[in-house]
Amino acid sequence: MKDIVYFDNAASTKPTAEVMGAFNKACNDCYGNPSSAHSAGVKAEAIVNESKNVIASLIDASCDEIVFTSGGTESNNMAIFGIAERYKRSGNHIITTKTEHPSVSAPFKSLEQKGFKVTYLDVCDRGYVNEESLYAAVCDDTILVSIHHVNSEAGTIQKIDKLSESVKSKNRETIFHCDGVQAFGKIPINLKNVDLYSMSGHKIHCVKGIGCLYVKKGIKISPLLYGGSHQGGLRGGTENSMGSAAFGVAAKTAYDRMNESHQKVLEVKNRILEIADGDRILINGDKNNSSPYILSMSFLGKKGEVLLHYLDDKGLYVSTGSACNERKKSDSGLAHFGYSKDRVSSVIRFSFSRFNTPEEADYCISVLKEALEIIV
Amino acid sequence: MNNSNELPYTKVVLVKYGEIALRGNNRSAFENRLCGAINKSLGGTSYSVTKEQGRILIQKKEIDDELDYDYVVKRVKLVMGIVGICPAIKTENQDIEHLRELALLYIKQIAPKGEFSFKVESKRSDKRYPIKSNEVSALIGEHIFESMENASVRMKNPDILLKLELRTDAYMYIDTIKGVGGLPYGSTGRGMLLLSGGIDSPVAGFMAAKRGVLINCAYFHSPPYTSERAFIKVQDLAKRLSDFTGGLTFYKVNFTDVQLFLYENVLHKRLTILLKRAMLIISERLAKREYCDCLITGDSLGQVASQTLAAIRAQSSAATLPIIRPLAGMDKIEIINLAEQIETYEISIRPYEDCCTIFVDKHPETQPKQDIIESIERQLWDKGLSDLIDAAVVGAERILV
Repeated sequence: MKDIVYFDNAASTKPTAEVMGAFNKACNDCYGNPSSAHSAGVKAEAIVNESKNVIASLIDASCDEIVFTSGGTESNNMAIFGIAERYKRSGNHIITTKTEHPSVSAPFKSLEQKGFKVTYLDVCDRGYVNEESLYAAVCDDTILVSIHHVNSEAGTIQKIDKLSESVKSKNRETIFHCDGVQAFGKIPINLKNVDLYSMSGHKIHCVKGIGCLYVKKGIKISPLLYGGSHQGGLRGGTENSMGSAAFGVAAKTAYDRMNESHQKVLEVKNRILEIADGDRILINGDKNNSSPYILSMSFLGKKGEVLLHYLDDKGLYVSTGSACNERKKSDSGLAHFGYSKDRVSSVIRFSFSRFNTPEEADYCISVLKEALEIIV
Repeated sequence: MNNSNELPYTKVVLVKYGEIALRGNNRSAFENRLCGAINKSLGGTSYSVTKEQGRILIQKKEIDDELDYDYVVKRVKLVMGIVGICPAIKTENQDIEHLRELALLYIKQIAPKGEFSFKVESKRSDKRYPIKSNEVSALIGEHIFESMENASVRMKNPDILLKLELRTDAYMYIDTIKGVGGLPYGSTGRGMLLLSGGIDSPVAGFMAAKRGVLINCAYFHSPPYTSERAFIKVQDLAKRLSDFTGGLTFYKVNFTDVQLFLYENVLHKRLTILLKRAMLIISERLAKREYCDCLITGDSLGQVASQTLAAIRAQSSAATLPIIRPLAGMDKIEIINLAEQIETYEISIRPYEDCCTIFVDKHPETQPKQDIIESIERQLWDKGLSDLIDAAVVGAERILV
């Protein structure tokens, strides 16, 4: 067994050699400012545009529908604040769910304080948003709906096609944003009725500090960052040419290997979830149809945090929920699945990448069994 | 205004310290230690901190670099043993005419309208200065009085008390900001502080240090029930305390086995008391290793269930060294205020717990009986508790902060 088993890939992943190669090459060859007039600038700009093209083609978008950002959090903030600012005269109502990542829920809370009316939709015990409740919530005043694609804590895959279609059928002016950070590069994406889609690099073996937002042609958003005419005026700031170069490669690889990776992580996941006994060890979310990359289990009677530290000591890295939540004592999103306090406080999230192996899963099971014996 | 051509002076800070502990041969060593502590509290290398006949003088090394009073006062305020801090001006030219002009300029800067009562107090530490102190005061006072129409002289409670000190150079100042006071660090003896990641114990450590106790710390770590970040938090607290003390010794004790043993063998309502006793026993052994004369805890009377007098009594007999509880009579809000002042509060409120909630009973006994607690402990002693405590002491990691 190697020293480290990394099962926290929904928090962040290890950049591949290929990605680091692209990053390094961009550092060496294209360090100019993409906005500079000289040929070093032109070269750097070309790299940025090339990556935009790659990502756009992967999701059937066009190059000018992609805005590079610093990552998922910025993409989500940009989408939500950008729409609210731009369309505030058209309506005062916005909709999201109770199980969003903090980079979505916090902007909504902030807008609520600024006077927006917010509907927070419930989810069922498997984490799904109810299509009828969503349809009922949309009104003439609704300018924005934001729903995640894959839930970061339980792996629930929302039926984005149906949900977005439902919203548009009630009010075709309502803009639909989707936080796709845990989905991009892992499951197919259909942007037919989706206006804005957030993506992140470091969840798919890219370096940290790069992500993007898909903004459908015709949708206008106000920028978060002012400071130049970069990226069509949507985001001031020197473009991250090295990050984009790396992101392009990471995204392309993720798409090329999507099916193969899917099989690999599913095998790892299936091995681990076998220890669930339906009594003291429970699987959270949708047992059958959740993302193969995320497995959330509760070990009733134990504290998730204590289990985590035990596993950590054995070189096994997991998480108790979404990493961004962990430093706060706030309620985990899983409380909104209607789970008991015990079930919520005993959660461990295992999240996988194509580099994980079934042997690692076996090691994980043996350490888990040992931990459950020893820990009070 | 620094070094204007007509009236050159330099912004400096004069530090006054308690004389109580300055006896004979200790004096110079203490002054050097105080200079060192001040230097450390200021950070960086742009300050010169020197002894100046019963004062400590803080100035900028570069003559053109203007000293920021607020910054220096804020940093130096918490150095143990300092009684007063005086933002002052310094001049080399001690000619009386020059001093009169300088005093007038200084006063005009502070109260330009001149509607105030004032008094001048002078002191010569160099008795070779040709004019007596009283006359110096009178000459300066006269000049101010004559030059500022609305200024009046008052001997008792003047609005402005201008102090002049004639030393190797001349110094003028008006405000004296109160320092922490206390005794020179380490002059009282040595103590072992039971340091947790909470708000109280770092404050208790500060209070003891202020009374001259040299501080060592013991921290109880229980992986996997507490996280590595909880340890880093406590280490950061110890680092912060060491800003006042100039370094300290820190023991990281692995407490998991003792904790689990007690968890399995005692009623959970008594767990906290027995855990605290075990911590005291271990701390005392470490204390003796460091030649300490006392243990220090952050207990505040009645704050939580384990801090009723009955509970404190039931814990105290675990140690033979005296247990100093500097916060005994303080309210939580007072403790928080002090924690904010010494800048440990921000660290203490980081969300990493240093005792897992599993080991905290919802309804602990508030009136435990000392004899019952002791007899429970005695029964467990040979059943494994003794060995586990020995192991915890032997395995304790000594870290210099």
